[in-house]
Amino acid sequence: MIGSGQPSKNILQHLNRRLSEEPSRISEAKQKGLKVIGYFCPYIPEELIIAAGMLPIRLAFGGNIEPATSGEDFLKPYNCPFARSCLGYQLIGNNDYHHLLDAVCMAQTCESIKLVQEYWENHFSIPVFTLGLPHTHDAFRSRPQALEYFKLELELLRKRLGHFAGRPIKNRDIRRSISLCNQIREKLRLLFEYPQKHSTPIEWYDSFRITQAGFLINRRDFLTELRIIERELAGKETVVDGDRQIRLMVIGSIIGIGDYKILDLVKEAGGNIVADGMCTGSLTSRKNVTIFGIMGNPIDALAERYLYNVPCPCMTDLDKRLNRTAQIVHAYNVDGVIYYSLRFCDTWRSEYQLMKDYLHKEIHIPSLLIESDYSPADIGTIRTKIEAFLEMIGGLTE
Amino acid sequence: MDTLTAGVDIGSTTAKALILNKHGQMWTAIIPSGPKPPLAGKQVFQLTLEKGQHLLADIKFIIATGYGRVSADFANKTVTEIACHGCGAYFISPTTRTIIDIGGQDAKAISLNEQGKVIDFIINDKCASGTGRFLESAAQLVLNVPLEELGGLSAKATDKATISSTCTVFAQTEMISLLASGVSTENLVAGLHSSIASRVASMVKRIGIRPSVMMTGGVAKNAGVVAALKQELNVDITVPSTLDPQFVGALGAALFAQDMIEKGSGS
Amino acid sequence: MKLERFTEAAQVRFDRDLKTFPALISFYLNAADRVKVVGKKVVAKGPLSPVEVIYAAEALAYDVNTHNTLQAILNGRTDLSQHAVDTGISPELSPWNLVMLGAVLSGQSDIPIDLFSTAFGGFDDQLIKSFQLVAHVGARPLRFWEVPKYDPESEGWALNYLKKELEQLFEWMEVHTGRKVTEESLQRAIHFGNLIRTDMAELNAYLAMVKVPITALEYYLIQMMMGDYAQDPEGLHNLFRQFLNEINLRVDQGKSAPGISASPVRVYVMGNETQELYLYNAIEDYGGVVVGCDFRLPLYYDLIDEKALPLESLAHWIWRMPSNLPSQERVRFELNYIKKQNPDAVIISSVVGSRYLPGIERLVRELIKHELGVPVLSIETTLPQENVEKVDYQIRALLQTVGS
Repeated sequence: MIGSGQPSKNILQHLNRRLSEEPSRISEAKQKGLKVIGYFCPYIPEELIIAAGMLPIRLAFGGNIEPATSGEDFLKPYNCPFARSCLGYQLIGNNDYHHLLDAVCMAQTCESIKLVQEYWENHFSIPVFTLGLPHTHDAFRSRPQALEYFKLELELLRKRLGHFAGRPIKNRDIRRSISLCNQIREKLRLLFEYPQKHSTPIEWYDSFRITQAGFLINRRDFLTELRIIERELAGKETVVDGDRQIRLMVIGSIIGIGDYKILDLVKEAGGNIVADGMCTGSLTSRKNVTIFGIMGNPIDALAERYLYNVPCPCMTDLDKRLNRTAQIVHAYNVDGVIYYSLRFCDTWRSEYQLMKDYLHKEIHIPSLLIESDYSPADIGTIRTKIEAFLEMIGGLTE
Repeated sequence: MDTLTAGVDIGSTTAKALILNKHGQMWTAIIPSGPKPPLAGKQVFQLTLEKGQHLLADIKFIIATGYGRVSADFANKTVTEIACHGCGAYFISPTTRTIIDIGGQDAKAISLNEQGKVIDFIINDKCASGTGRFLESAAQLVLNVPLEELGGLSAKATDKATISSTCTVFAQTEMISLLASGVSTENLVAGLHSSIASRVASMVKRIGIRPSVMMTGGVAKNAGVVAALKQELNVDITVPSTLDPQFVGALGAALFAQDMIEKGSGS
Repeated sequence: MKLERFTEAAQVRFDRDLKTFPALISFYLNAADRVKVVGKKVVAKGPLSPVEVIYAAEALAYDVNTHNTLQAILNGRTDLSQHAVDTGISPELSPWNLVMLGAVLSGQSDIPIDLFSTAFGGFDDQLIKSFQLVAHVGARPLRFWEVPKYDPESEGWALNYLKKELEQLFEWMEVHTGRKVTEESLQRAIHFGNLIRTDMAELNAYLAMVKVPITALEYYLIQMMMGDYAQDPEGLHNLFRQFLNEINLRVDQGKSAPGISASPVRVYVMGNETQELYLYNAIEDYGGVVVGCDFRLPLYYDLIDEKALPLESLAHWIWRMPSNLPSQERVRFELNYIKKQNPDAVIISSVVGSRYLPGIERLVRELIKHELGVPVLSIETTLPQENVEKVDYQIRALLQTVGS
């Protein structure tokens, strides 16, 4: 069940129940022929997998030291804990979803993911479908060749997935799944927008967990769950009065399902996270896929949306990340930014000083770097850092 | 009736308490934290009460800080040692803009603005070689001298031994072989101080050195480390003289407690 | 720059009988002199980024990591990584990047840099992010150009992508250097690069002999020069020729290099290039001989075809660089080289702080063991001179086991 041990709120109750049933539902469906395709990074269009009649599962599990340590059977202790964890879960098998996989899709994002891919191909019998990915996030569209390349790679992925599914993936099926995913994205976006106001019926934490539930639940059912949540919220009173709490934005390396140590510490310290720039959070629902015209090629539409979302730091174009962060800080009236870098995550860590200076100089917002891994050993120091940060921003009046 | 407040700084190595009245009079006590820091917090607070012959009821507000603050159930509120060191250092010397606190198990650098508010901070908790523990283990395991004597020893050094290892464990091995090869204890201690100073200096540079700079915490009592740091950072460093530097955090906590009362948050 | 000074500062042993080596290493390390004289733009690049694209624009390629790190190691400078950490950079990066960052950010890079441009494609993120950082801080123009991943099914459009990237790169170079990349200039750059590749092939052939006429440290340092042709491909080639002639003389006289035992254990070294140069001396001290390294192999794995159109040849060659292949294929490809050198043992080096090569080490080790059937030693190092004891007993253990 998603959550850190705190009692489920009303909003999440139905969803959590549904989520707890998911692994057994998937097992049943597999017996009837359903294939489960795992993927790690949000550069893989789920739409293709759904259009092929298969179930996409985003394998973004983290926060546990056991699989991260098992991953050292392959990787070194100074490789990314998330990457070690992905391999560790597959190796030790104590994850409800890893053992349901029929294949995985891997986009060539960062080196750590590349390591996961190579060991996966060599050690696990589950097939790997790779997707080539340009690393220049080309904000000014001065490199049209990157988009061309990505489109053709998506066509190749479509072909390979179709072959695996046993039938070619039709354009009209892709359009249908685009429509489904767009609806999901719209509803999730609304959830993330609520905390812009100080009085909000839903906390960011819950929107975050809901998003993550959407990595695992059959997408049609997930849309139904979102509708239920929407109805719940329509009649709801304010849950959190954010007036006196310090408003925070969290950005950084992947926060996997289960990696809630930092989030919980912030909450305990009295901080209120209202926005994020996480690839497992609001970025998944940012931007719809837009097909231009009735005869528009859905692959082109997918390429546009997936390549030109806010880029992961494995891509260049630092400026887009800086701008986007400043935009969100402004829109959500954020007082401070928490920059969570997983230990040994070079792509995120290397940009911290640049982000900190930018936020400080341009919009006078402080940021706090927290480097951590999946070990609970540093809880004390992190708590002190967060509390000191909140004291620094808000003063000590309470 | 005098308004008394208390600050209890429960560190991982030592627990300190300070009782403060409105005229700036202070009573202090310090004990080792031992294996049960929360207990040490209570004990040192009790000791301080006894020293000033105060009653618990006289203390209007207690703030706990430090590593063990979370479990100090006798306190009215907790505040981090960052804010407390900032407050305490600024009270002692209002020109303080940078604070370097080397404690038993971590090291901190704190940046203040003109009003004495914290504007930036760094905590180094990953590496033992920039903390008091490095000195302690060297004193105990390698040199076999009391910790308090290190400062005096380095003052007599004729040269500075170079300890190149950045890791505590390897550094100890290196120190042992240096001693065996004939390096004098004084010179070795000078090298040790230089080593810890360069770790800490690196941290301070990241936050920016703004004068005046004050050192707090137990290691500030080691004149050798202070001198080495002055050299590394090329800036003057003051050490509180009116109060044992180990109590700066507790002082800050007691001062915050006064603020709390004035703002009406007393319990 | 005298070898005696390096020997003392870096605590390493050179082959003093080689008359032509001091000129060669000085030539490489004296980049500053060359830049002053020639007055061309200096383009900083990553160690494995193809070199010809820069010379084609009449600019000077500068392997900023290798130059600064070798300078630091050979001159015993230990403070440069500290400069980097002092600015807020993580101390957990690879020492190769930390030294580069420290040198460039503190203005101590051995030559001033005009432009930053390097190839990328999902490997060596740390290098890419380091370049991003220094270019941003130093306000220098920066251009990354993509080498799409090797996948036989993608060949058609991957090569198109790469060619367009190269064309745009050349346009960008023209804007910043004032020189146009033409078919002729590209052809010329390729030609000189091939001359140097041919020299390396000759050198490798010498290492394949029963009596190896070169010692490991010199071979390693020469291989490092492949990173930017010392800002003067022609000049480097000429010095290489002199060096190779001297080696050839040794071969004619039936001599091995000094310090190599009679029936040495033949060792191939791969993985991360280590900063612990003592490794190379230790191998010889304990009865071994180095018969090859793969650190810069992707730069000279094959000649660039001079008969086809230069852009075509270059794209084909770049796409198939071993560093662009998935590791399993890369190792299989390399084994063709390794087998020629007839090794008795393989050492896989990992540097703490590097990510990809140490991460993939287990896969590589298993593959090598399986294909070659020789003992493989995995050795992990950090900063220079911090690993001497460890290197000592591990090398001794390996060579005594294999040698017996």
